[in-house]
Amino acid sequence: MIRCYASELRRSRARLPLLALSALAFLVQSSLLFVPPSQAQQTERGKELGRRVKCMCGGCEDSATGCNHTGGSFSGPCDTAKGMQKEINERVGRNESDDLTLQAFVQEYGPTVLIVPPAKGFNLAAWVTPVVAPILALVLVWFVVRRWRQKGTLATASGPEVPAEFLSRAKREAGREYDE
Amino acid sequence: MDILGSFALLLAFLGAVYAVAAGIAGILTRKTLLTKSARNAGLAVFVLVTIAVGCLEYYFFTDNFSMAYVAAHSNRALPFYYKFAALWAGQEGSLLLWTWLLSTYAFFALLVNRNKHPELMPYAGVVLAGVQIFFLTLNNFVASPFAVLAGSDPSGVMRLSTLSDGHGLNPLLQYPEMVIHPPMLYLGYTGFTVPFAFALAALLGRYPGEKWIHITRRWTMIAWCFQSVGILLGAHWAYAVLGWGGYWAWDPVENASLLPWITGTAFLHSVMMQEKRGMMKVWNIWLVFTTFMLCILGTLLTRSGIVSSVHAFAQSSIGNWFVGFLILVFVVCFASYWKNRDYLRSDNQLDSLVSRESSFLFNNLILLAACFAVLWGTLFPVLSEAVTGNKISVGPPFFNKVNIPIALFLLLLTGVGPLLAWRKTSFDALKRNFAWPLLGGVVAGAIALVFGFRDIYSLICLILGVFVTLTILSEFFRGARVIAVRDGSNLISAVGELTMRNTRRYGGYVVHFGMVLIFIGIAGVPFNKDVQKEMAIGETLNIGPYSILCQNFDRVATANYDSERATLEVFRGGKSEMMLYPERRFFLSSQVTETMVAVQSSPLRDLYIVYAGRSPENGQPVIHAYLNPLVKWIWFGGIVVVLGTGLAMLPNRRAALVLRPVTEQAWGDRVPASASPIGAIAQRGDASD
Repeated sequence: MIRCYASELRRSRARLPLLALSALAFLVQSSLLFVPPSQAQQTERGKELGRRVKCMCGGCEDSATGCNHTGGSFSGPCDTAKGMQKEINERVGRNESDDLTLQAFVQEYGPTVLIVPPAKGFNLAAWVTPVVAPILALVLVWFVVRRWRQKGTLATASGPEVPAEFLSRAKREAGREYDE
Repeated sequence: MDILGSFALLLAFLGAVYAVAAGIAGILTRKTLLTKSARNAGLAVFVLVTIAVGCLEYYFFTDNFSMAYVAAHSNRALPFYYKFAALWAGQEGSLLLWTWLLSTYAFFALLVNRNKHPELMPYAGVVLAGVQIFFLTLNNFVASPFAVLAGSDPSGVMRLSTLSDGHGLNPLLQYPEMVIHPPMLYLGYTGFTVPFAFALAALLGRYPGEKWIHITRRWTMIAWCFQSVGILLGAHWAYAVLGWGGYWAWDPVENASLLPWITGTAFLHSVMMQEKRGMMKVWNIWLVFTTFMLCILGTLLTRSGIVSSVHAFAQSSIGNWFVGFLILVFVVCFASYWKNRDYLRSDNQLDSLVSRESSFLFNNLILLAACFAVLWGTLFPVLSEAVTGNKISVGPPFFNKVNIPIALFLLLLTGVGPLLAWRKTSFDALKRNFAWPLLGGVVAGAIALVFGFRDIYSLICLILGVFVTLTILSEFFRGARVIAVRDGSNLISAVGELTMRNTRRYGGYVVHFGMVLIFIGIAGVPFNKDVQKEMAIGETLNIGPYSILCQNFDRVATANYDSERATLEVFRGGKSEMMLYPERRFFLSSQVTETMVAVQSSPLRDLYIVYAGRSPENGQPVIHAYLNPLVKWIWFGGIVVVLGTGLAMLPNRRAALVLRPVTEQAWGDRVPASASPIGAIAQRGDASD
């Protein structure tokens, strides 16, 4: 029993460094997890916002985050894109809302800075039309099909029975014509 | 030799004018001599344009820098294969290539049908020559590729001049795919002129029946196949050359190539309704007209600078010519339709909403919705600016948001449509045909979910991809099993026999399978990763399962360019897997730098490395690594699409008709109709769609 207790104690002592290490790892991990939320989200949110504005250098059609100058001396973000991304990051750091940040860019560059048209005013049509037009087309097709079906009447087969030989010859000839 | 090219082009223009005039006169007076003469003029146009193209190529290969076009797009150090491709590097040459490919199509269409369809061919010849007149007008009087360089001497007299060396070819075009991508795309664009010409000819001449569709079926498939290859090669070029890690950016010029492809796809499907049931005649005629007009609109968008694009042909005044031509084509098409609309009355009506006919209707509707969405997004900036006075951008997120649901619905129809019967499909048949494929799709989706596949669109795409693949396999299996049982052959040879008996149907299935592969490849996009890092020698960059060790940076000099190259060793799980050498090339003649991406491609993922250059801040080399899953499936899918189209174009092998009665036990309960000779024939007839 005593021997048993002693071996148990040895085992727990042996576990101690392991436990200490685990606790340390937990603390380190926790300390990583508990960095200020604004800082942790800054990169991802900043990147996401950077994807929603266009690089305004005039030499590409990329977003500020995805700017990549083919044919330039450096195939990466140009100074304009870097400046725009920096401004976004600063605004994100100040906890400004997405709308406010985008609005600031619209005021500076006009609505063309947004990578997609804003869903308001006339530009709402950009979003609505590709949805509404197919629905209208579907309704139209529905009516056309209904009209077809109403008009369509099945004629009963009549006349003499077609001999099999004649039918096979007709099929062959039709097939030849079809293959042309 | 110097004036031979321009002289040949001028003669070609006159030949095309004569072909139209003589053709119309022949039709009106019904004189065969005139229509034959018009046809011969049409054939001669091809020969003359070929001479012009040959002359321009000769100028490139002999470094004739007195020709303005050669001086602008070539130089002495340019490799010979790029000198060949320099023909279409600029506006003038690419228009000449267009004319040449158009005249080639016209030549073969006239030649192949020279002793056939005497009522239809004169009309078709006139339309083909009419289109050629437009392009030859541009070649001769608007954008001539044979302009010579001239300068004034000290006394002010204009004299011909020459350069010692040219400006060189745009470095972006110095890539093997650029030697074949533009001709492929142009073969697609110009190829749609043939079905257009025959459709308009049939309408104008009130040519009876569906003959024009039979005549143009293979031409349409050829054009569609080239267009598909052209689009995919362009995507691959963008992926391998531009160094941004993607292959499709919804650029207006890319969209322009997609539009006629979509309507061409719709036509290839809806045309079966007309062949089988005599329905959708108006629709088909207008689909062909629209496809041709979209080809012209695409060229207009590419060359006019109406919408901003990164492609090179933008910003020129040639767009007005295309606008004029587009209006003229529309007026001619509409007037012809209006005058002859009674000729396009349907022979049959739709019997059921659950039928092959209705699936084609939906397929066409969805394809046109996709076409409209792409066109709408492409032109909306122009429309918005005209209405509001403000410039706006319509970038890739818009196109993705609008088109992905449409594309997924289309993928669903790809699986559903072919399994529905003509006229009407019973609920039992639906259950029998779809239960297992649907179950397979759901199981695949569940497995993907378990493995952490969380993107909703990708998940739906995977489910539908498996569903469509299983429906295709089941179609092959059921057909082959019947043949195997009857002939006593094995299932593999029965699949071959089945396919060769109805190449169009089973080739179509192969094309559908290719499209599934392409969709699966695209579904990998949400899982892309990328890391950019300044790397000194000995430093490591980690991405996904790979560690990339920078071993060296060195310089290579050639006559055409100077190159800076990174030597990178790629490790996986601590084991060295491969060496990659991304480059940056500085082209001496054009003074432009380009990336040469290093890609290690596997079916699962591409490791895509760009040497971005030296950081502007501290001069350190910068490596940009991308991990792009499933990209290879797109290119492989493209190859399958081409093979399937080739298969669908082959003539059917005649099936040996079984005229002996076959016992019920041997056939099973699925094929009782074949117990009689007529049944056997009828069964074959049923399968021939």
